[in-house]
Amino acid sequence: MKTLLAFLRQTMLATCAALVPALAGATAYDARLPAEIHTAPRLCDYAPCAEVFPGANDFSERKGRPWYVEAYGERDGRRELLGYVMLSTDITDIPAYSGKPIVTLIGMDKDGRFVGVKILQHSEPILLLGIPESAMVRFNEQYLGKFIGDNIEIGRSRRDENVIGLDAVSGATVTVVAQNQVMMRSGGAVARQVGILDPTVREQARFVERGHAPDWATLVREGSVRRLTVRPDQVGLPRGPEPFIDLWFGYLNQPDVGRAVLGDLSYRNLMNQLGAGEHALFIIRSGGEESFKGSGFVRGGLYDRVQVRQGMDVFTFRDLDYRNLWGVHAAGAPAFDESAIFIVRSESFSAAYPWKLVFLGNRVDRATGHRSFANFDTEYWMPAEYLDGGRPKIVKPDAPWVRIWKMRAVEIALFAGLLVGVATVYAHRDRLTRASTQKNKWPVNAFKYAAWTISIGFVGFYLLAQPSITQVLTWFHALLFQWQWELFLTDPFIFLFWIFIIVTVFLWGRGLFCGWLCPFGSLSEMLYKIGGAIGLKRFQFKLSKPMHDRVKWVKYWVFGILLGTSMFSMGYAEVLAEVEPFKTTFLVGLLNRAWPYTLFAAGLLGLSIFIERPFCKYLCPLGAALAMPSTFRWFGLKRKQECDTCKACAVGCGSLAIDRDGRIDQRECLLCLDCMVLYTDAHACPPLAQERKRRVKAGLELTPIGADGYFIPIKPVAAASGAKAH
Amino acid sequence: MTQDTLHPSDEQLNPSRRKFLNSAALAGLAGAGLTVGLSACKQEAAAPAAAPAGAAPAPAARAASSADAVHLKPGELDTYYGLWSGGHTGDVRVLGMPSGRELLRIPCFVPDALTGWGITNESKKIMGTKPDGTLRYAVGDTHHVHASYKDGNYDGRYAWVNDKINSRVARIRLDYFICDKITKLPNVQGFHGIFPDKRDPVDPAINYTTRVFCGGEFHVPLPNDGRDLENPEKYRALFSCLDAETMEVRWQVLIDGNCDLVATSFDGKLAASNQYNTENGVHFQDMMSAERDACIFFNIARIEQAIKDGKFTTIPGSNVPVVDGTQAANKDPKTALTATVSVPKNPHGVNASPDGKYFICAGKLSPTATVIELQKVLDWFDGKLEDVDQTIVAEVELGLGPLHTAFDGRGNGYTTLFLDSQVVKWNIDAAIRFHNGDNTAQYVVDRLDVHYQPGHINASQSETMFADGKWLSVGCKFSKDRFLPVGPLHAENEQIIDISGEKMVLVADHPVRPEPHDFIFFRRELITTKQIYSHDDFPHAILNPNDTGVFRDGNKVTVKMTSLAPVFEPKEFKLKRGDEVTIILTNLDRIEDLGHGFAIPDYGINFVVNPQETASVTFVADKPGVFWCYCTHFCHALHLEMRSRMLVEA
Amino acid sequence: MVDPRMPTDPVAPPFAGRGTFAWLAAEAWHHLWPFSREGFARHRIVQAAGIALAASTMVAWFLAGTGRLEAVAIIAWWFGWSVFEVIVRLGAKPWVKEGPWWGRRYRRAHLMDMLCYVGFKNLLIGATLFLALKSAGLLVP
Repeated sequence: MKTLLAFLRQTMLATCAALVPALAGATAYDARLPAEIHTAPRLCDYAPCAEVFPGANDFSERKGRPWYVEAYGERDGRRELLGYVMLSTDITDIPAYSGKPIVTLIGMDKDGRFVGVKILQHSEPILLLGIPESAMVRFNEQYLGKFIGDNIEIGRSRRDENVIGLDAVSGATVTVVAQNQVMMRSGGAVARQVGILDPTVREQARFVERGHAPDWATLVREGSVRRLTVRPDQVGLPRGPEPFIDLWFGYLNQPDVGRAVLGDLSYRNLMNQLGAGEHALFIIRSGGEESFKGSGFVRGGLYDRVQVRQGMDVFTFRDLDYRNLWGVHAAGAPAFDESAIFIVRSESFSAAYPWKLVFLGNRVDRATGHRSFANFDTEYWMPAEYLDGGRPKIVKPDAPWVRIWKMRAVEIALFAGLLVGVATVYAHRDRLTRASTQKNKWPVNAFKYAAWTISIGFVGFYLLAQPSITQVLTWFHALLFQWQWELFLTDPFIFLFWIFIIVTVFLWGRGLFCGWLCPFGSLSEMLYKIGGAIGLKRFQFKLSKPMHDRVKWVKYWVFGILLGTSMFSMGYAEVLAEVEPFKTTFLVGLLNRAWPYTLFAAGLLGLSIFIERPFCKYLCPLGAALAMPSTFRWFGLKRKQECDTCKACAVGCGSLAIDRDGRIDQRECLLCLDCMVLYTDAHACPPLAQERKRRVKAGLELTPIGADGYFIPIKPVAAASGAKAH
Repeated sequence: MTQDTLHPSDEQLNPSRRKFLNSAALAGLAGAGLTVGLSACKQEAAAPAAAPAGAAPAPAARAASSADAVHLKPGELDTYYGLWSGGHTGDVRVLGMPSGRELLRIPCFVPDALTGWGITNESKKIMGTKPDGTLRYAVGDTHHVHASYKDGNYDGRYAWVNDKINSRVARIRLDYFICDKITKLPNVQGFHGIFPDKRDPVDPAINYTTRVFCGGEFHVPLPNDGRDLENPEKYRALFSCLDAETMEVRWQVLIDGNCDLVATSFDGKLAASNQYNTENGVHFQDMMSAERDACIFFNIARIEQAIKDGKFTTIPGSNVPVVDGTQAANKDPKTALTATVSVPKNPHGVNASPDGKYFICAGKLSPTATVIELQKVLDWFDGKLEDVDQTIVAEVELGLGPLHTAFDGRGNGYTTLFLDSQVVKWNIDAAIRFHNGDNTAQYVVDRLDVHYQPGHINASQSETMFADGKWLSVGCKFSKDRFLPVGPLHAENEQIIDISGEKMVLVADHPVRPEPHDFIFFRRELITTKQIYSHDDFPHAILNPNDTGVFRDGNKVTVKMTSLAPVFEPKEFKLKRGDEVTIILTNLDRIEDLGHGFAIPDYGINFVVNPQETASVTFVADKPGVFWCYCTHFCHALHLEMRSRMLVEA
Repeated sequence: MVDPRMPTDPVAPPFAGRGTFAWLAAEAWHHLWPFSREGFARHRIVQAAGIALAASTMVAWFLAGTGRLEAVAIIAWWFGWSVFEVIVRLGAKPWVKEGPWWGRRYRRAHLMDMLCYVGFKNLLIGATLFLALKSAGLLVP
């Protein structure tokens, strides 16, 4: 089994590997980095530090917490500290679009200005091709010379809010938003360590001494003592009933809590040892085999498994910050076998504000044995009743995705309006099709063309919200690795679009998206319509039905191959997803890409003038993927028995979705509604026309056409009232 | 638990013991009476148990749990700090209790090869040197170690220990756990008992230790400069008072008799010492001639007032004020500086009960303990009592060879019976009632065999007002068959007893290197240690490796060095033969526990510098050649490589 | 004569006319179990291979459950099984539902219908099981 899989994978990789260089010059994509780069003290023996720090020729070992290295250069023949180099993954593990972090090497000078940025490894599909890596390089170049202490965000500069904007990379918003966080967090962590950025000064807590002696249960209930539990499966160990580590912790300076936990004497002793701006907290381990002390403090004097974070500040503990916890005084405390009092020696820390105890673990990948950082934390915020004046109000900065939603609220509202509008219009399609006739389809087309126009201009070119098969593959990836709502929420339009797509595919089939709202599809058919209107009609043609019925399967094969490839390598699937001209058309622009891409997209669009939607019909893997569940849409289009021999609709069907038996292929139908116009058109629909003529000839009343597509039968009034009596 | 360890509590009336006393007890003291004493004990063992039937299962269950408590699992910490004197090893040991694990030996009076105590200039200065720079004394005999108080409990500042051989007092800082000062008592020989006061007798604001009292045992001519060698009647002992901070001798009291131990009252008003040889005899038979010996009480406030009033003398060669505390000079209670309460012959040990009410003198040769009520002693000083012996509220029989008493804070005393090899638990109130004629009062609660010949005894927090009655440690002077034989010199046996219940339960034997005498143990919360030194402690500290090097002034050479694992700076230094060299070494490591050793081959030098500590040695470079100075205290993976070359030019 | 109102010819599976609960149970069974008696009769070889494949699928899930199989292999197994299920169903239960899922209209399934049905259904089942296993910590991604 394994060998077979391996063989398949090898074959696939070999094939794709042969393809990739031809398509794009991918460099950092899944680049193989030496394992030492994440661990070795001499980072710069493995990472190109000199490239991100022009002028530096000597680099120290990793130091600090989190890690960085010092960059030295020669000035006047003397070795001089020029600045710092850091590896982003030493500092933060913020994932990008792929769910994996972008490994970035960052250079920052002594004044806290970025001097070099280099992506060493990423797994971003969009950067593999579509968007050239050079776009990312250009994005990163925007950081050069910028000060770490500034408020740097993706988007417009907003002088009144002191925000310095960076130009995003079109089509890779999620990636650059993540990258910005990585840059600012990495630089900030080092700048704060080396003193470039002033430590945050938080107003110290003023305690209210209530003079009561809470027991353990009370301490836990009121939040004065909190718990941090890590399960073995969270660190890649076999699941078991025992926790990996089970910690309780709390803040001790507050007199009531401190006395309750330590007892009066120990509390007084401890407080006597603390100077101004020093804070004591305790930790006990009530379960699990893992130690929270480890042995790092023995050699390096530093406890490397626990730290306290408050905002952007990280507080670590040295051996001299440790005190013995002799016991927990409060009644009802759990039994514990490891304990500590740690002292935070910084005025940056304030008990008035929330903070987190972080347990720094390692996750071991059981399949590969690869170790990665896995941090676990629990927030602690002193209960308001212990604080003079209660808890201070804090304005938490919005998550990046929230900021994006707020920033683009108007567009989001418009877009949502468009989606709801189209769905509403379609839900009332009966009224539109009845208002239309074979000769005059404007009641339908007015809405449809409007939708196309908005979707091409606003959705496609402006919002860049072109759904793509890569998103389907990315979900697949995310499902396997790390599903993060935040990530998908970072692109609100695609997010909303997919909700719309999923709902409408279930309701009506894929046609509403493909036929009404897909920017590329709309553009394609719009070109066809325009072509017809400007006199190219005679050159326009359809494949013969039998031919069509063969070629239409190609798109399913395309989808199948993409799906199959994605199981082995997302990267290569992304390469193959270039069959979609979407990136070229909307995200990057026809003129911004290598000529093969431009030629392909332009060719398809050109062909669209003569064949209706050639890409949609025969190639689109996204369409194929949506077509499959469309088989089971709930509400299909209407047919009548006479359709089995009548060819009126089939002839007019642009999608070639009506077979010779008059049946509609749900998977191919793009819900243009032409046949539905015919369905109620007493002049165009042959069975209706026949009946109309008969009635006219017989002088009978022309009753309205019912839901079944026939004239409502004429029945005697008595019978009708009799029927009512039932 | 066998019947053997259960003793009837009403055996104090056993007449056979009384008879036995005068003949066998003395012989026992001479070392031959042991078997007889034991057999006497066994006699009683046959009597039916008097323990309440319902209490029987409890000790067994407790034994299991308390055994867990003394046998700590890896990573578990002890509940108590113990400070043990080291006897004639001249040191103080720190033990974790109740596990009995030895954590540290603090060298005080005697050089220590591990730390370089007595080798470094800093330690030599504390220990005292002859004019040629060599140590004044290389032997010591520590007996009693007691710590400083505040509000009736230990405050974790200091502990003091005596050196009986050379009459010195050493003070130990309880933050660094090092000896920081040594004072030699003038005109004292055989300095034995020692005890800090617990508060000031006059000023209520001073609720902590400011004085240390030292009992002189051997009476000698004053001054002992060769005069009166053949006039033993002029020999006298002195009772001394030191200032706890400066370690200067504040005053001395001339007394009759020889002081054994010292106790102080919780109110700060009284200090006392039990005395033998109140006859001031020189030979054994002279010392045994009086009917009773004494427990002498010192009225601290009156003594200090007398000195303030100038009513003192000095002894030639010393400017310490000396007041007269002899019985002859203190007959009028209203003016007396001392009160001499009689106790049975040759008493041993005086201990203050945690309730602050009583001092208890054990009889040693008498099978009794004498309970003296402190309020009555104060009453005597106020003239309210006719006879000073009216302060004795009980004098009850406990067993053979009672020596020292510990307390559980629940009204019970635990007294070692040297000859019986037992600990007896007895109730003080019941003893007083019995003494007052209530023959039904059964004051002996329990007896327990210990192994063997117990001397000092102490209980957790026993010498404070916060005696918690959890653990008892007994210093058995003989271990005999209790450990693997290692030749003629035996370890002593410190036995741990669980006293949290009605019955005592023996839970552990711990071999200790001879030969600790006295000890205290107290809650770990009371100590706050410093993890590493501070450069501020050392005026000569070298703060930067760049400041190291050889600094020459004629043939006086100073070598400034630093250590930072795994490197000494400088990596070599050059000297000339005959140079008087001082090496100053600062350990710049800041990591807890990362100390370095510094040894110079063939020069007899080795010492330890702890993190941020500075130490220095001075020697004459009299041997030319290359000498690899190396780190002796394991520090780093490159510990072996941590060296510096000392080059001595011929 | 064909009925153009249905994409393929209407079919009434044996359980189509049952009462609500019996019908629901039969529907569920239908989704989970591709074989039928008629199918067995006609496809003895396919049937044997099918049972073997079903067993190996079980093993694959079991291995994954005990953390000994990579997630990718699981997916491959599931994929293989799905292909096989399509073939079996075409023989044994060659119909799919038409229109609302709560309705009772069935129609004859062509190959593509069956591919869509099995693919869609097994994607849902697979994702559910996969997420369940993963959240239970039994699967190594």
